[in-house]
Amino acid sequence: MPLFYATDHAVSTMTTPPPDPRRPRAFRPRWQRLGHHPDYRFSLANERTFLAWIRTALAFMAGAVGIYQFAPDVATPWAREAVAVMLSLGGALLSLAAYRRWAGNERAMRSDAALPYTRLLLILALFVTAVAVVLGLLLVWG
Amino acid sequence: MSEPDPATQRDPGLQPERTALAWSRTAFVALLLSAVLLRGGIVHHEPMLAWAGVVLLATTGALYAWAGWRLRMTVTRAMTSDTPVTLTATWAMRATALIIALVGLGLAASVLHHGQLIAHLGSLVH
Repeated sequence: MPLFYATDHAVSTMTTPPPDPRRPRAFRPRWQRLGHHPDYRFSLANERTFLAWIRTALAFMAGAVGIYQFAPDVATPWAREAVAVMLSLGGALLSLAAYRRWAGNERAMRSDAALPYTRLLLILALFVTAVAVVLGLLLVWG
Repeated sequence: MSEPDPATQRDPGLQPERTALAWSRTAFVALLLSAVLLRGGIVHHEPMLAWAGVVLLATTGALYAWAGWRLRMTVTRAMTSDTPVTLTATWAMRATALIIALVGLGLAASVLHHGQLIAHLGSLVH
């Protein structure tokens, strides 16, 4: 049996509705049935954070197309393509990481745990720095 | 009439509104990227890029529709402090993340397929 079950917490929090057996539960992730619902404002803030990550991923891809097709004078084609592939794969990974992070935060809030610290910001910063250095080198010597 | 719950009293409409605006902002960025993808794909004759643009354009429409729906949904749920994490919302987020990841993969595949990067790496090996 899971440690945190919806009914155990029903009394302790005001935001937990009683379980409704009529509601379909198929396709609902298992972690959403554990613990209790957090304050709705925190859930909405978490959703906005997810969307901010998604927009970052979209911006990476827009940058990839920009370097690939709209900057023909920068360096040799293969070097631009390398940066474009890096950016678009980075964007794809970031998009999946956004969902993973949203689910992780939501799960932590459901069990009153601390929000998981993420190395994603460090990885993102290093990635953007690497792309910037490569682009700078291309602009100088390309 | 009893005192309203502090959680509902403090923040009547702004949380749902900000969240819906975040969705429509995301939809706008998706619209920009799909325009760039469509232009690049059509002008440079890269069908995979154009198809990624078509998929993302359709996603943009769905995202705008969802932003409006999400606003109404979260406003009514906020009144009772009910959780906004519904099954539909969970799947909307999963679908968004998955489609955008696929668009990114399509973009990378198109660059590798039409570009010179693989040939150049091959020549470096030999």
